[in-house]
Amino acid sequence: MPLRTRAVPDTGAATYEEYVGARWTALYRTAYLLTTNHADAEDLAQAALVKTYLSWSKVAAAASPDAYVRRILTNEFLSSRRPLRVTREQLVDQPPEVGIGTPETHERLALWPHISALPPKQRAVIVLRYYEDLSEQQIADALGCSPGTVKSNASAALRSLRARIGTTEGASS
Amino acid sequence: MNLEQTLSQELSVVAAAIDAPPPPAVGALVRKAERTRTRTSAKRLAATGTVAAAVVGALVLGHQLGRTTSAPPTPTNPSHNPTSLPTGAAPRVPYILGETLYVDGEPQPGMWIGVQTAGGNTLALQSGGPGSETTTAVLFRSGAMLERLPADAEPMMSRDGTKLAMIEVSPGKADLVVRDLTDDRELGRLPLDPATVRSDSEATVHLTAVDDDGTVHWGGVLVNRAWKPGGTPVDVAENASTPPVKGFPRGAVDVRLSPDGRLGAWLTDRDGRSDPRADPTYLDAVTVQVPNQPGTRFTLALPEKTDLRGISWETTTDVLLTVFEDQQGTREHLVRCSVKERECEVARTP
Repeated sequence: MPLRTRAVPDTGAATYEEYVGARWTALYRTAYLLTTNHADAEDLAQAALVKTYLSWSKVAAAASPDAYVRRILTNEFLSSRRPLRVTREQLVDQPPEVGIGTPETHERLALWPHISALPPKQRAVIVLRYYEDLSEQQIADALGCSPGTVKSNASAALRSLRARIGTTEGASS
Repeated sequence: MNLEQTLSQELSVVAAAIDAPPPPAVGALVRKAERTRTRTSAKRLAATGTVAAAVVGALVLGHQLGRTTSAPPTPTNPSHNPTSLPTGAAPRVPYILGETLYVDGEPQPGMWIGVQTAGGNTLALQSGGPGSETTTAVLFRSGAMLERLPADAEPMMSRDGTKLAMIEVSPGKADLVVRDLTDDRELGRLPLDPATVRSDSEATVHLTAVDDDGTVHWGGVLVNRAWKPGGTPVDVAENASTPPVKGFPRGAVDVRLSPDGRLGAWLTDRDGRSDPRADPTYLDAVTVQVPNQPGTRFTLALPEKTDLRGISWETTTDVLLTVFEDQQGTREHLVRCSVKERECEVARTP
């Protein structure tokens, strides 16, 4: 059943179907950066699109439908992170699934293997800030928190990454 | 190393190298969404009804219905159209067809998403419109509208229809309220942290059930609690997303208990499986079982590849099923299955 509403300004998509087709790859990529593996990324992106359908009239009417859906995606990511999964990720001493690019590309990724070790909220802040290129206020809107919380999470994440890089570099030298 | 610059570069490199799978079928997303909506409504509105006798073992429905719990599915009618079934009486309880609520056969204005009838009371959920997440609940008694409850109060009625629980919110305040519908008296009121009500945070709590004795259950990601008016709230281990219905297979979703608790029914495929993640599974059957007695389980199948999206107990012997002719949502029907007679028929509707 197509849901006909006014055109979505930042995608040009007029219907839910068109939105899914137009934005799936971008959503999947963000979901992959958040979850760091394909299986969870697909689950997350689909779950976000299911919730998008349920709120489609609001999404289509939003000034930025992408921002609305991004909020759904990140909230779904944060709320669906069960302690078991977080614990498992912290216990498994392996880099995140890569499966992408060439070995040369892989070797160039000094930080990516450490991103999955960040707590989910810090990871979300890092992805929104440095991949989506959002401002602190936009990240705060997406995560439903204050800009101060965004800033403190970003600082903690960067501190943690610096420490991990330092450890890695120290160990390899 | 400039950490922030490197982060931007690496995330872009990783993202660009991701080979995204093809987009999911929109139809599958919509079905999942509708099932989510149905499950959400179902959790808020536990089904009612009783079953006269426990039925043991697998059975095969006559005529157009045919399916056992162990044999492979054997469609006895190639049509997906439930109207190939006999036609019976109109539903004897308020029901929703399309998005219209019918009470005593009369359509009620608005868009309706859930209804529960028990003990002479009917609790119906009205949506704010397409895509709206705002719902209003209306209480009917003996076919007449009794009360319109506050918007988003998350009301729930007990299985026997004697208790109603809801969350009343006013500026800076949120109360969990339990009422006795037999004499329209408030049984108790428990203050909740307003920050945990209707928020998007992981601390958000929702009502999950109210028992026949007035014990109300609520919770979310962080806490799950129960409280009986006059007592003290206690932490419980149950996950709030899991209905407090025990004695059924792990995979059973949204088990609807008969009012006497002697039988539960839930939607499944023709093999008795209930796995909403396994699209495109066809939920074209209903499985019934006595709690804690897996040997009593049996599955009643409707015409193959019809799509069941709702179930409730109509009487002491009958369940009412909301059935579409296919997963694209072609034509909606109400089908009545008698557990006692082991037959199904299309309920006459406008």
